[in-house]
Amino acid sequence: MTKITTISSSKPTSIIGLLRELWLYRDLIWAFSARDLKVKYFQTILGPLWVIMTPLITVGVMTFVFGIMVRVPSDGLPYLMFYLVAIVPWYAFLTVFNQTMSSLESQAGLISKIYFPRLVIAISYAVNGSVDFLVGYAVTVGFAIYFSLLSWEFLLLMPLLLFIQMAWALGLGLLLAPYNARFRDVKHMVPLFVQLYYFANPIVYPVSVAPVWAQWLFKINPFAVVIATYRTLLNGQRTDWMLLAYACLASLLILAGGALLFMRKEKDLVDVL
Amino acid sequence: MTWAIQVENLSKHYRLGTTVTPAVDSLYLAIERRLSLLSARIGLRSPVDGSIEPKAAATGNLVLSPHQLEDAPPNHFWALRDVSFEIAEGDRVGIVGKNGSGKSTLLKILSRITTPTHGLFRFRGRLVSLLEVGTGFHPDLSGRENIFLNAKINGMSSRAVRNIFDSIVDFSELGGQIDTPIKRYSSGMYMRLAFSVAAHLESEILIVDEVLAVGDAGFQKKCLDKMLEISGRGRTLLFVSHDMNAISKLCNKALEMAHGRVVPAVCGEPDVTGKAAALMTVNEAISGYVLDGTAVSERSWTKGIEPATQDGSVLLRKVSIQNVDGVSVRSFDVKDDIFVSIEFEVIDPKWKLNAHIYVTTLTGQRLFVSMDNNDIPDGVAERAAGPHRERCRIKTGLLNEGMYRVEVVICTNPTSAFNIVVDDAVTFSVTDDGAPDGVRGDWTREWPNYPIRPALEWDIGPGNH
Repeated sequence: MTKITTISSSKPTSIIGLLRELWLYRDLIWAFSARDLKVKYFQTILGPLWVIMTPLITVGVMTFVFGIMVRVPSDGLPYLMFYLVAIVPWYAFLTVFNQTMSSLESQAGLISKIYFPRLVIAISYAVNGSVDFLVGYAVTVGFAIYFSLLSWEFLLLMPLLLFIQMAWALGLGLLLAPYNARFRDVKHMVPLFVQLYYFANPIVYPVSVAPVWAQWLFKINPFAVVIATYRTLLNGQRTDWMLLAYACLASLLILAGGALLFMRKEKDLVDVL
Repeated sequence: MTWAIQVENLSKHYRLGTTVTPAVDSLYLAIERRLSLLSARIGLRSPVDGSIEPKAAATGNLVLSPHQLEDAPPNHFWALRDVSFEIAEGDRVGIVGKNGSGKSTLLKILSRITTPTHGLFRFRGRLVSLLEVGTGFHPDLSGRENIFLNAKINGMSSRAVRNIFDSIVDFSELGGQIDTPIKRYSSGMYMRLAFSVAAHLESEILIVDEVLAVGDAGFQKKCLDKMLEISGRGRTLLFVSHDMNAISKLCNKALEMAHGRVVPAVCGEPDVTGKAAALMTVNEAISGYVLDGTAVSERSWTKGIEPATQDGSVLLRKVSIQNVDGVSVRSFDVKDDIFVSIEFEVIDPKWKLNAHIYVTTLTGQRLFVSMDNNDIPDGVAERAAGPHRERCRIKTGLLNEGMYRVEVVICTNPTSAFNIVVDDAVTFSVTDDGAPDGVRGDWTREWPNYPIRPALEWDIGPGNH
């Protein structure tokens, strides 16, 4: 007996159904990731080396400006290490967030012609973002060994921190994606906020220099928690486990909310793309 | 008979115009209006009304008919309205209709690209749609990589693609080119690759939207054959095309759309449940589409509106298709003689006149032309003033089953500059009850679908040793 599928105007979206369908399309997630990776380095000479080149060049410049010239405090870490461990997650976050947010628009040609769960696109972006991150992370580990700062915790906690960061990026991206497709204003507004968000995170500076009344800003923001945790894992300071658990929960909630909103809106958005 | 697709009261409305009016636009309009008022005040020119309302000056077949606006929210129209039908497993259904009749919207909903406003549909098994050639192909990837990507976008697993990979490459005839990035492919090669993947996808239902237009004749035929083969294995096919020849070759049933609704079938059998509209026969749908509901066996004109030569010296009065008794009928048996009767009136006998008929199949394939030149009494084609009537006999043993269109021409001589030409003046159909007589001999099975069935002579005797 073959399966009967019913599509009606008023079909409630269920998380279980969504997960089952995503599982059926798991090969497509890899296929999209592989495609994007391949295409990204098509006709380049350095190829995947570019993943490391970009952060390394910024790290070099930033270390010179803030580490050597301005001498920003760096929680007892060499400034290079201090900055590297923040900028590698930031680039991965930024890429996944931006791509997810504009996924409906950039894949309009595909979306308006073939059916597949649209979330697959966003997930494949997260997969690619993670690959980029892991390459950068390998370089970070190399420097940690060089500065003899490497600890087991730094290696073991990485998957959890990566998950928090990706869930946060995906969730925010999915929340904005339907509005970005509908109102192109979003596209003009977001880069400004992303720039502000860069400075709202302890990337070039440590949390410790922030005034006491502003400390809560770094506690409610899961991405700031991720960066702070990486640093405490390197400099041997105490890791705030409660805060980490909160960040985990918050990013999961954002992800679930984003996915639900995206699914609810995505079907009607084809008509306005 | 089990169904493959059931559609119940499917409706979809779309907005007219855009959803978001940028503030810049209103600002621009406001400035423009002010400026024009200002220039009017200082006497440069008359004020311009900023708003431009479209005026429906064109008559005839409007893209949007008024009933598509009924009961719709403000600024919306119904692209689909209460569409219901049922398609049986293994059917090859052709969907025909003019631009804006709702074909694409229907396909988009069935392909799950967009959701209906009301109603629902069910389908059995997997459904694959090919709405555009090479959707999801990436120009930088090779043919091989694109086959995998495209098949996976359509829901296949890696292992399943590996199993059919070789047959895809064979079918596409791309051979060694399969590892070239497809941005270096010609459009024909691109299309070959795309169709090859689609044809090999595992699915119970295949939806194809007007994609066979590219590719050389050989490959087009191969695609049609492949689709026939697929449906022979029980796969259901939905095929949208404006190419009536392709529809008549490929499909066994049809669905005609007009202004967001399904045109009800006249002679199709109703479905089991009785709820949904019956599908049409292919011929009915094609005639509805091609002739736009003007399939008539008799056409006469009243004074003042009749087709006439430019100088008004000859008027066409009546054209009809008649049986041997002179009665106007639409349908003939394959063993009947068919008569085309042409009545015209000569007001001013200044031209030598000849009547011609041009006969084509329903899909527009040219069959033959007949002229009265050979049968004019005494070879004099000058007609006296007054009414004239000519009848042409299309003898039995020429046409096959099917529908035929007749174009009538009254030719003026020596110059044909004043010809009267009436396209699709009349149409008629020929049916065959399958009785083993006439051209059939003792053949009782289906006669192949070729436009003519002439009575030819066969010399049958012993062969040489």
